[in-house]
Amino acid sequence: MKPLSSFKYVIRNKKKVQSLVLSICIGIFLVCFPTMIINQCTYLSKDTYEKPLSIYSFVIKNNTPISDATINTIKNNENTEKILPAGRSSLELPILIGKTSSDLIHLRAADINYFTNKLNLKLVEGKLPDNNTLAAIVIHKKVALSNGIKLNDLLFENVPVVAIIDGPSVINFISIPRLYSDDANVIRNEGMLVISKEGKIKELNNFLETMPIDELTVYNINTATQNDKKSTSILYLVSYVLEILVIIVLSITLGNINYINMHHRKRELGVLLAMGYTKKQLYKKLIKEAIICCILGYFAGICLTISTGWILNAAVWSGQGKEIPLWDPTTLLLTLFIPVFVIIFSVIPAVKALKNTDCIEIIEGTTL
Amino acid sequence: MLFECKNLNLVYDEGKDMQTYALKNINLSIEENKFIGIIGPSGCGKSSLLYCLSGLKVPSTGSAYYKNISLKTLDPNEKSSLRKNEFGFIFQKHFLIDYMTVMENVLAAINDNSAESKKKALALLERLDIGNVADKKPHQLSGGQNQKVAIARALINNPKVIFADELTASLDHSNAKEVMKILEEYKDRATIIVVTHDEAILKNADEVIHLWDGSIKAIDTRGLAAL
Repeated sequence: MKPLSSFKYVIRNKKKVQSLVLSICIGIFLVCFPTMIINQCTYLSKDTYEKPLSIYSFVIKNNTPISDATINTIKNNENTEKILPAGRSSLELPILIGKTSSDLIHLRAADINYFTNKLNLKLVEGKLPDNNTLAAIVIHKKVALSNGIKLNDLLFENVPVVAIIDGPSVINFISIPRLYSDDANVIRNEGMLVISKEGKIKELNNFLETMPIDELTVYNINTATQNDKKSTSILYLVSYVLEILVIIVLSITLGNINYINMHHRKRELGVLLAMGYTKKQLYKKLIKEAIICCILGYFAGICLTISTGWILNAAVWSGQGKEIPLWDPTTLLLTLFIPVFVIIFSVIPAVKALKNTDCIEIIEGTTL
Repeated sequence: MLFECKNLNLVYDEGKDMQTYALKNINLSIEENKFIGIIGPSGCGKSSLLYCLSGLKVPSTGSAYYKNISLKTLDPNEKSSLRKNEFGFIFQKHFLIDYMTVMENVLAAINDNSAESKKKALALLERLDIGNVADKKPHQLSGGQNQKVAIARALINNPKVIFADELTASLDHSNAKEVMKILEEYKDRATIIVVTHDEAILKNADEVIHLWDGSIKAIDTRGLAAL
């Protein structure tokens, strides 16, 4: 390492730079950790609504029963794989910052098996209902954990939980005996799940949106994404405001720390100027030092956030089905603005101070 | 001529009613590989003359020339480059960088950590009798040792001119004598310009410039030893 290497300065002046590194680290943590908690909500929302809706759309009866003609048009569309008589309600899903809900799809028992396979959901406990079963609930592991629901618990007063499933899509099923009685009648008066052919969900949704709106309402991935955006936009706004505040506070604080450090280093910089180093070379040195400190602080902050999240996930949140996502590239990119802006704003006072440095005054001891 | 000053004036508070002449109508020539002393009482302009010769200060009027190039015509980067490559500086205070070791302080002048440079720095430190403290920090050294490190730092780039401003002021008599002896060894390789108010350290100087109130009172071309 060269004598004037910026790394050498950082290594040899741990006490001086630790305040800079720690401030950035805490700033990153303050933005990153709440964002990860918000992400838990948005990721779960994606798992709950957007992922399942990537293979099907829900058609719900509107003011009048759905006509047979409409049913047949949907059934015979080239992008439809299958239609299933179905209804839709929801189960409460507590999250870290409140509550959301998870779809409870009303299906025939045989269709539950078909549908769980389609969504890559695995049975982890119990047994999926068969045709002979009366009303029974199949619940996703996350929903079970966050609500403290166990196998054989009774929901809605007397409906037993017969199976717990796990997988990327957070969705629950209830088999209702009346769905067996008359498929066509159920579809007319409640609604249906329209399963798309492989990779044809977009085309299917475009087609469904042309259906008569007095008969049916389509609930699909577009509706879910819009709802998701509405509910999470305010949370992200809070996160952005927090980030801006952290940038302002850190820039002012670290700018002052840098200015004081710079004042303490006037002798060093003054003598380097006298020896023949240019101000440009010294600006570069100061900026590099600030960059190193900010990068160290950034990674320390990311490590602190991930390790805190990991510990809390392992100790508390996993058991409640509320794990926060530990690795989110968007959050990492978002928080990258902190070191970038802090480098820019905190280096300005130091550079200004160096600009006004006269090495003769320092050598003669008039400016120390 | 290595250095020439022509009608050089350095005025403080220029443009104000009361102007102070730090240097007044300085005309002098300095040859290569000479030991030059600049002597005079405090405030007579010794350091100002040294700063003008080294390009650290720009004269108000007149010019200082180095190898027939007016230092006034050089831009700041050219002046920096000149100081870095051709000059070595020793100041009254050692101005060592506190977080660097002695070895690193010496190498800071050239910002090089190659084995060759380290070997050269160690040789210089050993010549100055402080080779054993190469890995120590300045705060672990005595004032005299620190000043020797500053000398090593000034010599590491093989300067053509060594500017020394009151370099023995913070040293005791024996250390001052020793330091001057080492510096004089470089007379055949570099021009040494020493600013001092202590006549004793200039006994081997080739020329002594006597300054008084910003003007050259006399130039003793034989050195004090010959007086």
